[in-house]
Amino acid sequence: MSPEELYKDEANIAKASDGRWYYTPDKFAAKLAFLIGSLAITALGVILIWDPAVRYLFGEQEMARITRIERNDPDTEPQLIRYRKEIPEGDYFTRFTYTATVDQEDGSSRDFTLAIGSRRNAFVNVNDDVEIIYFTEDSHAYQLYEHRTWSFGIGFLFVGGLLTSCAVPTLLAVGKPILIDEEAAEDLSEDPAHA
Amino acid sequence: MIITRKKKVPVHWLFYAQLPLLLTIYGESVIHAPFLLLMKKFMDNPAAIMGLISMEIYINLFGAPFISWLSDRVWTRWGRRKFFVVIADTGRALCLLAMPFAPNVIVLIILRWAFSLAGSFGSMTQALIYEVVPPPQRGRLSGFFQASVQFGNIIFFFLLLGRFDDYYFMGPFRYVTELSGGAIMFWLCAFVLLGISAFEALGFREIKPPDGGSINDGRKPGQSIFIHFFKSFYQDVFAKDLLPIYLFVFVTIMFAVNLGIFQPLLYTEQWGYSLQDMGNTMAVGAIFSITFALIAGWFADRYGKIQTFVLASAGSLIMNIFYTVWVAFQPDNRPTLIQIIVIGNITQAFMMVKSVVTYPLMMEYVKRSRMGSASAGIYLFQNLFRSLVLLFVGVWLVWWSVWFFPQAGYQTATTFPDEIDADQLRSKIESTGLDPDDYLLRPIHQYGVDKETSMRWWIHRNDEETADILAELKDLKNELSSLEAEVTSPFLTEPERDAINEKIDTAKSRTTEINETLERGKSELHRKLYAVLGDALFEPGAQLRDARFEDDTLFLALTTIEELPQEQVELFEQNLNGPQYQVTASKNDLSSSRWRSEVRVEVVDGETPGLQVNAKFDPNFTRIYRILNTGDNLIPATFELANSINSIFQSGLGRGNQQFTITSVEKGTRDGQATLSFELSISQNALTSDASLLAEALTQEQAIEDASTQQIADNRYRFELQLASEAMTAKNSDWLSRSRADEIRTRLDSLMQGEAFAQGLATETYLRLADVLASQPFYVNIPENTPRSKHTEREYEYFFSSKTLEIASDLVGFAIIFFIIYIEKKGVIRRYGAEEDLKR
Repeated sequence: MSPEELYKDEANIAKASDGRWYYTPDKFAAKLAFLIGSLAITALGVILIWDPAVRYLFGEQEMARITRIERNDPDTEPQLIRYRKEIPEGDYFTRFTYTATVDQEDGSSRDFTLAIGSRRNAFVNVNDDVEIIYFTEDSHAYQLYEHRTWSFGIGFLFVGGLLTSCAVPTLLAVGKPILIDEEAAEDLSEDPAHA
Repeated sequence: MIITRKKKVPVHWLFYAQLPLLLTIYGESVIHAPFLLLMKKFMDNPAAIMGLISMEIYINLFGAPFISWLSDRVWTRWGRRKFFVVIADTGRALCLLAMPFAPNVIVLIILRWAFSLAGSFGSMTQALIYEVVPPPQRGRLSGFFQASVQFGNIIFFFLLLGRFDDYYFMGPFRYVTELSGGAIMFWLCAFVLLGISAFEALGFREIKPPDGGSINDGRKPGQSIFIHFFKSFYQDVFAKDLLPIYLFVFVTIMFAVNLGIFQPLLYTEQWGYSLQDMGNTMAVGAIFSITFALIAGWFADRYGKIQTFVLASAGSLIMNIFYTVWVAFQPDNRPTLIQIIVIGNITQAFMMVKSVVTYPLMMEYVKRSRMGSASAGIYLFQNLFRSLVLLFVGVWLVWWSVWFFPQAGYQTATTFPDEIDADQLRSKIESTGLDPDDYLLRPIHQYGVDKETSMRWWIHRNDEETADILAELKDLKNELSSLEAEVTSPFLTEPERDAINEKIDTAKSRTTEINETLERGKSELHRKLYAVLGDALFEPGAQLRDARFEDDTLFLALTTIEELPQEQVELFEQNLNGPQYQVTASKNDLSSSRWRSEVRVEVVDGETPGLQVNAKFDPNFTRIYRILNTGDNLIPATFELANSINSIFQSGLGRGNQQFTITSVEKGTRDGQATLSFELSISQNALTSDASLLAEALTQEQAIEDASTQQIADNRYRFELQLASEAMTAKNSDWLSRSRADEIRTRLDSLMQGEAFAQGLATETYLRLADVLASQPFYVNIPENTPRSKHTEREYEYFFSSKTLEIASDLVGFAIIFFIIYIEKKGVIRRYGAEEDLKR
């Protein structure tokens, strides 16, 4: 089959003056939307990581002590755990929130709610030490060296960055012809994945 | 922008070309362990879970081969393969977005099947990639791909898996909503799939091939396309010459039998590790995998594929046996994380070698012209066998539980004065007229200790009704969760809202009924056993060797079952920290100031281990508690109230001895409401002298309804607090604490000469101290007469059940390998592919 016959219905494949066939990418608007979507995912990553990151860079860093754990089970009164004890496992609907207390140099103390709590199981117990980052005017704090503080921010940044790295060259290629080689290089019927 | 059918592509195209398959694998990562955890929200039975999940394979069984076949024979304005791939990834993304919202297990499993069905449209993703990358460059593509897959595994296991049970409610979420880590994880993966489908649609361009097939090739006039597909496809796939590879498929499935998606439950429910621990272990495994994949390829080329396969299979069987025996000899049958990493990765290395050589080995038995059919057949049989094995693994876990483990029911933990074995306990039960065969007995030990005898025994009775009502309770919780979210919708009309509220009331009332039934069952077992075993149990109060209260210092001498290691004493003292104790200044690890409780603990060595505790109380606290205590030795609300008041003053005025003094504490009533008044003297070096601020802080406490203050001299204020009624009168609703307090009452009476306030202090301190001592990382128990009862769900065991199955299936695998070697020697089967290569 000749290329003329093969590509007769392909709007953006054309023969150039050098006698060879080229494909010229189009769909600028759709590709721009893809780029904007990718940047939005990256931005979500930035938003997720922003809160702890600015506290790490410009806020306070202290070793705090967990002084209270609040356990919430559906349809029961919240249970306040004020001293260390075995905390039985709950179910999917059981939520734990943690209060960390920082002793100040002047002898006073400040309470912060850990910004990320847990379900089902408590991840720390009363009187455990946690290293936290916070702004003094905040009521919440993040654990510094904990996956839960950073993971989703990094995850969304990674995915957003990867997709942006796909979207940018895709958009930049619009209007620039790509040479189509004359024939296929292989017999795909031998390809195991081609069943 | 990349196009297909190039003879040579730029290197950066290799990276982009692999992304459709790579990001699909990344996106699918939540469909394994995290999906199981999502299913666990609705059901626990492994057989039911696996039964439901394995059904997706039947949905996919015909879809994927048909789509692959079709993609060779069609051409659309969007190409022939990316058209399907985009449908696949978009469909899967939408399923993942919806999964966290599934209100019940039916919707969740339908979404899972839809995910799988959408996935069958993507069965030719690899073909699309191979059409972009020409054969001479596919080696580098494969290298990129393997490294990227393992990198993704590291990211997923190290960063994301452990986030499933996180709960995000502040930071950037505080303006929006509360989110669970599980939901975010699913949405992240949905974004991955949506993103890659957009890239496939816009960044890939298929160039029409000159040799493209047609759906009419070989098709009789008027024949249905499906009939045509089934006839041509299955005539090829069920041909006799492909029998050896199907035997190999069965062998590989036998060697790959494992816990699969239940792996997280082995780590979390059985071994007590966190999901993060599991993720870290898996991430280390991914690094090992990269290394061993390279070595395995070299080894197979050098020593022959069948020899490599047999050796690797023998290696993994030996490791499976070794791992099983090793764990059997570990305390609590619980290996350490290091042991899991080392043993697990050696086993994984053998598995990796096998997986690297399996496909090329199978292809040695296939003529080159039959490879396409062979691949289709492999896909078909692999899925069929795998579904059966998956289903069997679930059933096997249930059988194992039924054979060897307690089912749902009620259990009581009891303590005896001496160590006894199971026979002694059985005869004790028998002597009271009960049938010991109705009960399951198990010794309770400290972590890391395994013995046949123990002072503490766990007595369990199975109860069929409990299993049913616990399952119903789970359904009710899910139903309530959905209804409570639904009822807040602004789009509801009043009648609709009323109808939902009615459903909520019905569900809540049934929940209450079930909880009462469970309580009754628990109490019944407790009463029955306590009535007959009560005299044989540990003597009430005997755990208290001595108790005194002098100069605001409480001295308690206690018997313990296990000995507290000397190196844990300081940590234990720190963990007793609380606002009721006198404090001294110290520094923490970051040299920040820290106040430590003046609690000193000494370990008593000897045949009967024990502890001596000297706890110096803050005089401000004791002055309040002395007045609040009404003579009962246990009213935790008053103890907590005294703690809270002291804590608020410590926080606002500063810690240490000299910051403030509370005196003249009085209890009274005003307008029928309990009041507490006291004088507060604030010292010069206190952090503030603003009493109104302190009064405001006091009103934040639930037990204090109002607080007023009046200045009576310089830096001296009279506070009056109006107390919530519960603060003064409520006894602990927790039956267990009440019973534990009652058990030491008589002993405390004799030791402390009836001083009610000191006895209250001693009781509260005893309960806290015993709880802290029993918690992680100490696990030291104080013997108590009070049995602890609870209802339990069916217990599952994941390690030995799966390992025995793995060993058995390995042996079946070996039998089939030797059968293949035997029939090959007899000339029944031949290596057509290898023979063709030799002739070239």
